[in-house]
Amino acid sequence: MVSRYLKALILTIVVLFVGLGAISFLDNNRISGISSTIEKNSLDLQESQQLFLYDSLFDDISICNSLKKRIDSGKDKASGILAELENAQRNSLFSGDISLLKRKFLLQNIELYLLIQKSILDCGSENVEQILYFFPDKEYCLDCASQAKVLDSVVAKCDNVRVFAFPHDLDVPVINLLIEKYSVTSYPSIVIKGVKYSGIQKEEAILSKISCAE
Amino acid sequence: MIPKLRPRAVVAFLALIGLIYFLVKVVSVFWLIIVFNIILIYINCVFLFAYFEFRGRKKPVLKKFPTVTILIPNYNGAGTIQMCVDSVRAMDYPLKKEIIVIDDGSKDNSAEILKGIKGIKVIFKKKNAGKAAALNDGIRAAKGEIIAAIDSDTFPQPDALKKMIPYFDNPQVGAVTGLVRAYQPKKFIEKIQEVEYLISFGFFQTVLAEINGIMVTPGPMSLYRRSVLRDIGGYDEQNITEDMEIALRLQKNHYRIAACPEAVIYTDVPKKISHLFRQRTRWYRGKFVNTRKYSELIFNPAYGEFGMFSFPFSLVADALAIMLIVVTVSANIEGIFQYFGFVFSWLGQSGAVGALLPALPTLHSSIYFYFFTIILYSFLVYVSHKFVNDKISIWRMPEIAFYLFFYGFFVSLVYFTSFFKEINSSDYVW
Repeated sequence: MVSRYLKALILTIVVLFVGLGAISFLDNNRISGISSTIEKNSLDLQESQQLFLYDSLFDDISICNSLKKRIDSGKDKASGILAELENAQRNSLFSGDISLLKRKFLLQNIELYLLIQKSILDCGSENVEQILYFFPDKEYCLDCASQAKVLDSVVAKCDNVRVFAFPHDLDVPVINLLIEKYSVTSYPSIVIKGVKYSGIQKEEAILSKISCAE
Repeated sequence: MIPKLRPRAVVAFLALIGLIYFLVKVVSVFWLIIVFNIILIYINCVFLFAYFEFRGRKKPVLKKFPTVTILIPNYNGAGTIQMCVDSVRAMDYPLKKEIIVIDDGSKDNSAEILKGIKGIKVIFKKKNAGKAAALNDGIRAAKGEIIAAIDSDTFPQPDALKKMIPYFDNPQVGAVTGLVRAYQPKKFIEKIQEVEYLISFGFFQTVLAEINGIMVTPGPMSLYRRSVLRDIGGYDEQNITEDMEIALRLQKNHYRIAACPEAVIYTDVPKKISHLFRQRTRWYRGKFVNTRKYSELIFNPAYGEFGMFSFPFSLVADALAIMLIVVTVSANIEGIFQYFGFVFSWLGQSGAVGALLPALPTLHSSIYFYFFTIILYSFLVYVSHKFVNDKISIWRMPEIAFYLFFYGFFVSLVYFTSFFKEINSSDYVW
C-alpha cells in the first residue's frame, strides 16, 4: 500500500528531472543560435581591426579592398538579434549569461559602425548604405518589433545596406553621443544619410531613400 | 439586493490570492508553474500505479444472488421514462426484480404513461419534493436486499446489474457504481462529455475504488445495500448533490464503495452549453457544500487512504489545476498578444507572410511541463476506451483533442462561477 505512493514519488522525481533537462536543453538551444552569430561577428570585427592596425603600421594601399570585403561579409540580421535575445531572456528558466551576450552584441555593433565610418574616411565613400535604428531596450514597443522586421527585410534585399541597432536607454557613451548628434527623441527612429525619421517607416519609404544594390 | 457574503469564505479567498501573489513575486511565476505541475503529476502517478494494481485483480464471484429493488425517481421525464423502464426490465438477472417508479409530482403526462406500464409499482407524489425525498420514499417501500437508484433518463445495458451485484460479496461494500456513458451523443458538446465521462467513470472511478477514494455514487445509476442505506438514514433531502453526499456519508461510516467499469449505463447528457454550465455549477457547489459538511474526514488517519490521500488530494488537485491554468495563461498572454499585435502591425507594412513563421509566439519554457500532463491524459483516454472495448477512431480525435487541450478552461470558468455563487450564498438551481 505504501509502495504505491513511493513508486509514484520516484516516477514524479524522474519526470521532474527529465522535464528540467528538456527545458534547459530548449533554453540553451534558443540562445546558442544567437550566441554563435555574435561569436562570428566578433571574429570578423577582430580581422577588420587587425587590418586597421596593419594600415597604421605600414603604408599599404591594398587594405581598402580587404577592408571592404571584410565589412561586406560581416552582414547579418543585426536589428532582430536584440529582440530575439530579449525574448529568450524573458521566456527561459535557465537563461544564463544573456545580459553578457547582449552587451557584447551591442558593443560589437557600435564598433562595426565606427569601423565603417573610419573606412569611409580612409578609403573614400563606398557604396555602403547605413541605417541607424534607435529603440528602447527596457520597455516593449510594438512598432519597434515591426520596424526591426522591416529593417531585416531591407537588409535581406539589399546587399549594401547595414543596419545598426542602438537601444537608447542603456547609457552607452557612444550611443548617447549619437542620440545627441541626430537629436532623437521618440522611438522607433531611424537615421538615413544623416536625416532622422521618427515613427515606423515602411519598407518602400526606406527603399526610396537609399540606393539598393541587390 | 445586498448579497449575503460569507465572510470566512471571502477571507479564505483573499488569503489564497495573496499567497499566489507572494509566490509569484518572491519565487517567480515559472517555478510556481513547475511546482503546481509536479504536484498534479504526482497525484496522477499514484492513480497510474493504482490502475496497474487493479489490472492484476480477480473479479469477485457471487455465491448467492440477493433480491433487488430498482428505484426510478421521475420528474417531468415523460420523454424517456418508458424507455428507461424497458431497459431496466431488460436487465438480465436470475431473480425477479422489483421495480418502483416514484413520480415526484410531474407536470407533464408522466402519470398517464406510468399508469399504462404493467408489472411495476408506482408511487405518485402530489407535490414535487426533490429527487432525494423521492428516493427515500422508494427506500421505505423497497423489499429487495440491494437497491438500484436509476434516473428516469438513464438506460442501463442488459448485463449491467449482473456485473455489478457480485461486488456486494464483500460485506464491507455499501455501494457499487458503474460506468456512466453519454447516450447517443450527436452534437459536439455531447461528444466532449462522452470523452469526459469515459475518463471520469472509466479510469478515475475505477482507480479511486482501488485506493478507497470514491466520492460520488453517480446519480444515473448506483447500487446500494438496503440495510446500509437504512443504517445511515437514507438520502439527505436538503443537499443539491445527493449522490455525492451519500457517498461521503458511506465513507464516513467506514463502508467501501466499489466500482464496476464493465457495467455500462447510458444517460442523457446536456445538449446545450447553458444547461451544461448550470449542471456543473450545481455539481461544484455541491462539492463545496459537502466538503464543508465532511471536512472532519480531511487528513483524518481514522479514514485511512480516503482521509489521508483521496479526499484532500482531490481538493488540492482541483485547486491546483485551476490556478495552473490561470497562472500559465497569464504568464504567456503577453507573448501571445504581442505576437498577434505584431502580426497585424507587420501585415500593415505589406510584408511577406513567410517572414512571420520564425517569429511564432515565444512561450515560456516551463510550458513544456504541460506536455507530460497531455501525454499522461492521452494514456488515460486510451485506457478508458479499453474498458468499454471502443476503438479510438480518427473521427473521435476532434473531441479528444478539445477535451485534452481546452476543456480545462471551461471547467475553471464553472469552478470560479460556482465559487463566487457559493461565497455570495446565491440560491441553488437544479
